Amino acid sequence: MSEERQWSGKTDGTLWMHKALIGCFKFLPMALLYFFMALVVPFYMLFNHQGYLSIYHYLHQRQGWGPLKAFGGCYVNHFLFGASLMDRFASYAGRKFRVKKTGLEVFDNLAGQEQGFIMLSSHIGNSEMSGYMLSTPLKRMNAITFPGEKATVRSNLDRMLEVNNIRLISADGLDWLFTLNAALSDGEIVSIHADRLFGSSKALKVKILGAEAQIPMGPFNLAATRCLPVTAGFCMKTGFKSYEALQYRLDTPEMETMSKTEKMDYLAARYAATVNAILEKWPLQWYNFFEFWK
Amino acid sequence: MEDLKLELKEKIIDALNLVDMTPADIEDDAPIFMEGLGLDSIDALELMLLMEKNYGIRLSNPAEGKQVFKSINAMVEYINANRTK
Repeated sequence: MSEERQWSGKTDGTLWMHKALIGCFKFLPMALLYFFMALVVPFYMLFNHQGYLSIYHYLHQRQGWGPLKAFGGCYVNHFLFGASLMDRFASYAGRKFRVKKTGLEVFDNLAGQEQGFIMLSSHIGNSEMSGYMLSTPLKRMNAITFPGEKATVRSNLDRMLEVNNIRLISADGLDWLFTLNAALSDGEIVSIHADRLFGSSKALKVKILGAEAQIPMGPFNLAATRCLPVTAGFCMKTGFKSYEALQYRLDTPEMETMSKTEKMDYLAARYAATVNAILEKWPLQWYNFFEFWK
Repeated sequence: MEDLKLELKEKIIDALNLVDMTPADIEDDAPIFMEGLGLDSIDALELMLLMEKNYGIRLSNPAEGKQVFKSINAMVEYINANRTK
């Protein structure tokens, strides 16, 4: 996957646009802002062929949808993605969402133990919302983010996540690796994206939706080398003002006898199976806007 | 000093699974990352764990860490001065 074909992972827009957006959410009804976005989405799709085509291919080839349904699905996908971003800014402005919690006891149990663990996140649903829903008073969570996020987004994220004992670590250069290493040695939680290569080109091959895909080796290598528990976390938009937060435990007792490579492959396969299950239930909340399957 | 260099090189080869390499292939003063051994972020985390497990050295300061991983010579020097195991 070449660099130029990947979505940068940063929030679009300038500083003043972000501030204006947060201001809007304080005073304007959400329904009005959603309506405005529904009008803008076709233009966004028109000028962003790359993202639109990759989602069309995903819906048509991987989900097996017909051309017309897949085309309509692209619109809904972009709308839902925009809605997720708007919900993010709405949260900054103090708006609240209803949340159904599924399997969060997995997270709470691990957070209560001395050892740290790794929570794998994905560009599916609204992963940032997970941060607002997971409170870790006993253990700090370190969320690895793409470098270069805009200052407004960054400062708002820091402010909101700090309340839940979550620290953001920007994956820039080599510095973040030392912070990550210290966090794991201190028995903290590390949240890291497991569906996009960054920092290293080393990858593991898995099957997602029936076709081979590459996912980053880093998170799985980290878990296997340090024998850490692993969860996969998702936060799916289920309605206008509602989300479902889900947690799945990926490591199992059978792993104890496995070699490091076997552990990595096992965890990657379990992660892929979880992603499969999520995408079968919420096919339109896949937000990897590049050709994920080659 | 030379014994520790050899031991460290062997541990690096083992930890990073550099199957085609021998300790003699790793130069003492060549950079470990990028143009030297060509290691990346995954390897960096492996090396940090190697330092912690084998020598009781926990690297958490990025500025210091980058100096330590400059070369095999720098690593050995740091291990000698800071090891607890």
